[in-house]
Amino acid sequence: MTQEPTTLARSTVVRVSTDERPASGDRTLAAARAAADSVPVVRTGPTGITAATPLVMVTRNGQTAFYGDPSPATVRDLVDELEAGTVPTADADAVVEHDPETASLPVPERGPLSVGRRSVLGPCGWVAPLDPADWSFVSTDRTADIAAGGGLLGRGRGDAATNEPVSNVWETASETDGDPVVVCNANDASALPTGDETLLSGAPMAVLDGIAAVAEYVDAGDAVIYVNESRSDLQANLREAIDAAADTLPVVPQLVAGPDEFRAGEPTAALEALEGADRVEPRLQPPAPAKRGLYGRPTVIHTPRTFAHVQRAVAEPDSVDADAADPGTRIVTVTGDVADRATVELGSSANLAAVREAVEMDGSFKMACVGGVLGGVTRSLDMAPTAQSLRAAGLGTNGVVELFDSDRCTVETVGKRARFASMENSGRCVPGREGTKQLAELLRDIYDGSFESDKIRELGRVMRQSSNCQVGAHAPRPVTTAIDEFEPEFRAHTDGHCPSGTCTEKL
Amino acid sequence: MSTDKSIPRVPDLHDPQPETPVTKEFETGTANDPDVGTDTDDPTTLTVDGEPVTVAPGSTIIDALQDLDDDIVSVDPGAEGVEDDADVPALCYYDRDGDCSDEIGPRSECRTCMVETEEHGLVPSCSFPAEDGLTVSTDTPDAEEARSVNLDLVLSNHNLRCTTCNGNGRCELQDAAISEGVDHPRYGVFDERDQYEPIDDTSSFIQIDRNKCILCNRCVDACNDVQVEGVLRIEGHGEDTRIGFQSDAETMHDSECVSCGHCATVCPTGSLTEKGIDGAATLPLPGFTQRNSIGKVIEHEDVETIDDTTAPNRGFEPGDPRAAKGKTGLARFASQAKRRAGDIAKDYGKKAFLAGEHTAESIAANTMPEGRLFDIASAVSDYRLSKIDKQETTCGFCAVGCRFEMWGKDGDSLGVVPVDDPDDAPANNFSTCVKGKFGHEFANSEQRVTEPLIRNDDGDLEPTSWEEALDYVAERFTEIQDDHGIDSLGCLASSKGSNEEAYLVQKFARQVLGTKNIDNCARLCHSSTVAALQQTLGYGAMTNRINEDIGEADAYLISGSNTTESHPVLATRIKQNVRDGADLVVFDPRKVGIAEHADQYTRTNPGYDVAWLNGLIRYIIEHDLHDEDFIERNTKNFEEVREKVQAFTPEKVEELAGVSPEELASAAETLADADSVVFGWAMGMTQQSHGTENLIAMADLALVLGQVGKPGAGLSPFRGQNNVQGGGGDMGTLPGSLPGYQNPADDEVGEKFADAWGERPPEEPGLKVPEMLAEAHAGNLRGMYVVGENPALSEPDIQHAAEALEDMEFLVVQDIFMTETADYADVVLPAATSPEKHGTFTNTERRIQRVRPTSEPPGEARQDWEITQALARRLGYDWDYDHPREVMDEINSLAPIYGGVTYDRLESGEEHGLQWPCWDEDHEGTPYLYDYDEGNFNFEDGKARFVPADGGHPGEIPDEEYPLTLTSGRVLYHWHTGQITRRVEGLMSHVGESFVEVHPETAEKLGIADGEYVRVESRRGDIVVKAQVTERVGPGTLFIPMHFAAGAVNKLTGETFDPTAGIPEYKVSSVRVEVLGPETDETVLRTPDAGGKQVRKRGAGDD
Repeated sequence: MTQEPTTLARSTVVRVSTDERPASGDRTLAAARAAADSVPVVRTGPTGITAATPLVMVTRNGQTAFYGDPSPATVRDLVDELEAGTVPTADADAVVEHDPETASLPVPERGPLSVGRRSVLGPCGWVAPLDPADWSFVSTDRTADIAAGGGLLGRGRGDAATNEPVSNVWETASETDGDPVVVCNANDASALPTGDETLLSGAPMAVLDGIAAVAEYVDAGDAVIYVNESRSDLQANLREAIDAAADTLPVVPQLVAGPDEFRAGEPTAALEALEGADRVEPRLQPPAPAKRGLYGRPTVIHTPRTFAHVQRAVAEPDSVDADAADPGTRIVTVTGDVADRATVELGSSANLAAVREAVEMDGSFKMACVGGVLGGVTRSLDMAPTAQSLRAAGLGTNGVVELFDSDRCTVETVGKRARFASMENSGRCVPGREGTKQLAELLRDIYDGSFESDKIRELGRVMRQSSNCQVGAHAPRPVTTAIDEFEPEFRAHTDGHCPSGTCTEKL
Repeated sequence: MSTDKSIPRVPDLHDPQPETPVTKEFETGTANDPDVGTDTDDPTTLTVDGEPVTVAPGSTIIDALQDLDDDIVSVDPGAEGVEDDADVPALCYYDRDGDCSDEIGPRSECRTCMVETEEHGLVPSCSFPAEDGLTVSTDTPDAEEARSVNLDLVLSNHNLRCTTCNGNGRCELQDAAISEGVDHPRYGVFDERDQYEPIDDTSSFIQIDRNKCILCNRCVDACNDVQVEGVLRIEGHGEDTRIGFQSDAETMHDSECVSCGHCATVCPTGSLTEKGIDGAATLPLPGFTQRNSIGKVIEHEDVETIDDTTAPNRGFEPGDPRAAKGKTGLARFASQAKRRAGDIAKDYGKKAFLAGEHTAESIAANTMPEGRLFDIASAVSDYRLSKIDKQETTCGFCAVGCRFEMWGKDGDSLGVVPVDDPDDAPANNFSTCVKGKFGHEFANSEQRVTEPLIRNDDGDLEPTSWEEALDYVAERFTEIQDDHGIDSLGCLASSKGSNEEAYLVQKFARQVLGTKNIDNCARLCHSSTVAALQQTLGYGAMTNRINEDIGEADAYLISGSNTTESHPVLATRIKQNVRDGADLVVFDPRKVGIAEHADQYTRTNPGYDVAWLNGLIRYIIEHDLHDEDFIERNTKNFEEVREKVQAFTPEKVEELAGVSPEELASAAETLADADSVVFGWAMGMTQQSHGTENLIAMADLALVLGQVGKPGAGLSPFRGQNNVQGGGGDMGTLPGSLPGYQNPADDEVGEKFADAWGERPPEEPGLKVPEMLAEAHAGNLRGMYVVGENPALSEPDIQHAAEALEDMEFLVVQDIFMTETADYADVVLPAATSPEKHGTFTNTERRIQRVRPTSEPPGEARQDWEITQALARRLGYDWDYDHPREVMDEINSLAPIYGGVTYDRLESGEEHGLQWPCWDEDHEGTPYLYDYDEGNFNFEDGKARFVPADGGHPGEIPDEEYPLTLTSGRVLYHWHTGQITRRVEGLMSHVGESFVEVHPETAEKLGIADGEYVRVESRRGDIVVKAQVTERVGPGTLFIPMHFAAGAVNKLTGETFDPTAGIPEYKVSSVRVEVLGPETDETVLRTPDAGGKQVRKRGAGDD
């Protein structure tokens, strides 16, 4: 069964791409709609690039002009001109010639949109996100079978197969007694990685399609999307998308909100929230959720990113190089001391440093924290964005690069993260609960003149290797990687001196 | 709680995990962890430190470590368990073997059990599966570093005040720290005094000091998974993680805690401790206590007991306008003051002590490495614990037969802890209930009878010597028999004493006195059960075992048993099994605790159980659900029952019993579908005018379904008193039944006893308990020897019973307290209680177990067997027993079912607790009676007998004058006539006075408000009790507990008896209720309905 694309099939159309909060582009959209007579005005989702949003794209016969955050008056002019039969290109940020029926946003030659390659992100900002007719579903006649052989790794800290082949989990869930369930864990509850949100807002059908394809593959009749309770806009959006696609999808997921807590994003903690636990903590493993997950049933848990990649692999098997160590692309959010954050997509052979081109930094680059709030600190981004090379560098893989400028104090930055871990851990295991507390204490001691780097490293090693979940295991990572790179700065603090001049008060 | 409760669970997803309706509501705060261990059906082989080890399916690495070498890992709970040189501390792990500890963890919280694997790196050995082919090393640098750092992390949040800690000497953290050679923990210890949480001392029994808590979660599992009670939980996150309550309660006292004590039993540190044995191993300096060490305490408030006043806790709250000025307050004050008197000096100097102690602590903390503090604390505890007498013994409360180690010191009972080897506690593992764990303080009561008493010429009881008392009893018994004949005397044996003591009482009756009149209080509880099961199956006893059968059944029919309150430890097995998927069907007029867990609860009309039981049988036969092969092979007279039940159509059942056809059908289908069914009951079935018929019908139902004689199935009467099976039946303390249920009319039996005793026991059956009182009233029974019984409160219509006791010419009461019955005695002989004696008890599963003393009878009080022996000798019989073991030797030679029971066997580990029949010394005992295939019912042809059962109406039916139906029963915290439990402050703090349960509809109709006093009146008398408006009872039905003398329910019950068993119909009486409201007279409240009055009888010289 194939759908007749609607927006995509229109040769003349005005697209208004908003950011992850749909209401953000209302004024621009209203202006366009008010001006439009015959030309269709379509609201699309985010592109991932927050600079110059809302983004107005004016298209006619395979030519699109891009206008970042235009004034309502400009919007009226743009619409009028298109109504008159021409694509207004005069003040455009970019003009791109493309296949008139492309399902992927035509990428300008310059600017943040040009960074990396837009494969999984392709539909984001281009298709009407809530319109199933704008989407070619694969799950209607194929399972994720093809992707199973593609060697695709799970993506994100909320994935039960993080950096592991997703097919392993699928096989286990299929082979285990009981009715399998598929869970899409979209509750990272950390503002840093926004790739999942970009996909859920910009191309929810891709995620739904991926979920259904996996569910079909493992023979699961039940699927669940787990979202953050505080994101009612995202929930409403997804609700609408699910309802719209319900008649098409072979497996229709239920939407369930979970607590707005960092720890609730851990995959087994997500299961706890889904089972209605009033206090969320991660479970013991093994056995993994694929054997005993939601209500004890075999459960596949992936992030929206993983599902979108799976969908992509099924739709276009050739787009994934099964022989690569980390097949497919990586979606990375670039944030930190930047003017506007950006979510971009990099091929596995790309250089992670390319992400800097997607954003503007005010100051000079000092360091980056890679992999989220509990990621690793580095001076250099000169490496492939793959799981393997990031891990080899001691960094995290949760699809975030925070760029920090020279005003940032390393000790303060990592100290806050240790404190965050000591506040936000579930309290379940000793290394996670007491370890994070002592880690924060050891960093406080630096301000009292005592820097015991061996003791910190010893604690870090033990936490990494013996914590029950990733919160405890990753908590020491910002600290230990920062010591690796900036030990003199730590020592300076024991003498009451902060080289970046920002530590005005103790932790 | 940090998260919003409104977060929904997945709305439309099927949860295949079984739960009970109650456990569904539990909020433990902990994750729904998967089962750990290997998931293969085959054993796995792994390598540990180079050695191959093969472990059973379901094992984790720690199992392999244990199998390889006990010295590698410390997993045994309790101080003794931690090996001095163990490599892997495994601090939070709990493994005591057996079902109970299987319910606990692994939480895998402390991570002090990390080991290194080639395949997965460092893993926690307690929860990581022992995968086939795994290569494990315990001694790699990384593994050792992880264990050491994590142990120090545990210590960093632990208040290290060992010498004042209640857990000293049995603290697993202390032992782990010592065994790991911790000298100075890397991260220090928790000693910021301003951050201490106050000690929660509000419970009478359990103290909480969260400053000592290591968050191992064992207590939460013990509460939710072992006791299935759902009181404790983990709350908060990160640094704020703590053990709290599932309700809104802030303190233990305000929580729903039932004080089973499991949390304290499993706590590895001094965080949850038993108040009875607190400080048992601390530095013995005044003021150096855990309370003072922490300094902040939420205090406990004492309530009254019958040691303080005769009608404790009755009256209005201070401030209530109805409270008589001064009176209540004064009484309370007096009791508090008395209790606190010893503490005044301590209070006075408390501030000085606190200052001194805190200074000492801080000097120690600042000058000594923690390792040195451990050594000091450990030396103190070794010394102090060596001064405590510890004995494994059997609980003296209900007949579940829990075993534990009792601690005693200086003649007093302190408390109980689990036995070392769970094999020594086959019925309970480490499980206890509130009475077994904490209810032994009565033994230390100042109100114990400590000297023999004789009624003087003024009619008052006065102390005398043993010589005089015993001579006097012998003289008077002889006189009465000379004047009025042999059978003018009767004896009541005790179901609370030991088998040996009960045996001697019946021997005293039959041999020494030569009378046939011997009975015991089992008459009042399960005599109808015995009668019914003897007729149908052969033996009048439970057919199966507690753990292996009742704990493993696929389905239950429970009726007339308030299991969670009357047999709490047994109930936990049922609750656990139902939580794990077994089906529970409860038929009962009252929605008791166990019914809350049921898949099907059906409220029945009191007194019509034969109707629904026969209705079930009819449905089962009609729908072809009966076990035809079993019936054909192993039974007789099935047709008679088939015919009989035809009349019990669903319509008839509904009309009589109030059970709808749908409920009847659903219960029948559930029971017929199950592979194994246990039929459980207690007084709700037996104490009726048709009690025997009820249980015949129950036995018929089990036979129809073929649910006897196989594992997980059977008929399970839950016996009441600790030794009612042995002392109340097996020992022949019954009219017409010799030890081992032998018929005295049988010549062969008679001759055997004649050979042993020199006299043949009387052949005729004697008087039953209620008949004795009736005959006393009539002047035919002139004297009685009552051992450990309290008929003045336990008989129906106690005013009538009191008259009989008053009429009695010569009453000898042998007991530990001045019971309501002792008030009428002519001679009171002070006896011993279970923590003070050697002997055996036989539990409800026919298991004979040893009882051992840890304290001494007070004053002149003596062992019961010594008293009976002394009386026998004075009456010319040369009894010469030196120890109860010699009595057992006589029992096993005379009672074939005890043929192989000897103290030697009972004391050897593997054969601990023999279950009768045990025919000879080579016989291993009988775990469950009968055989599904072979029959082997206790009749000559080996076949069970179907007996048609018929009901009828209860003795009293509600009418215009007395429109309500009254039932009676027990509460968890009290015991029979309450003579021992009403003396335990903590038990009284849970339930301090009598009450009446009233359904809200009835309450509204009668204008009764919750918590106000009402007068309940029957044709026999009236009492005043506090109303509890609750849906536990049905409309028109009331419930009053049986344990209280003030608000004594047996003032209302009537003398209707089951014609076969002679059991009184306690469960059905007609009553009316009068609201007293503001008119309640506090003097009435403060006057007990039985006892507590100075009874003046004719003086000794008046007869």
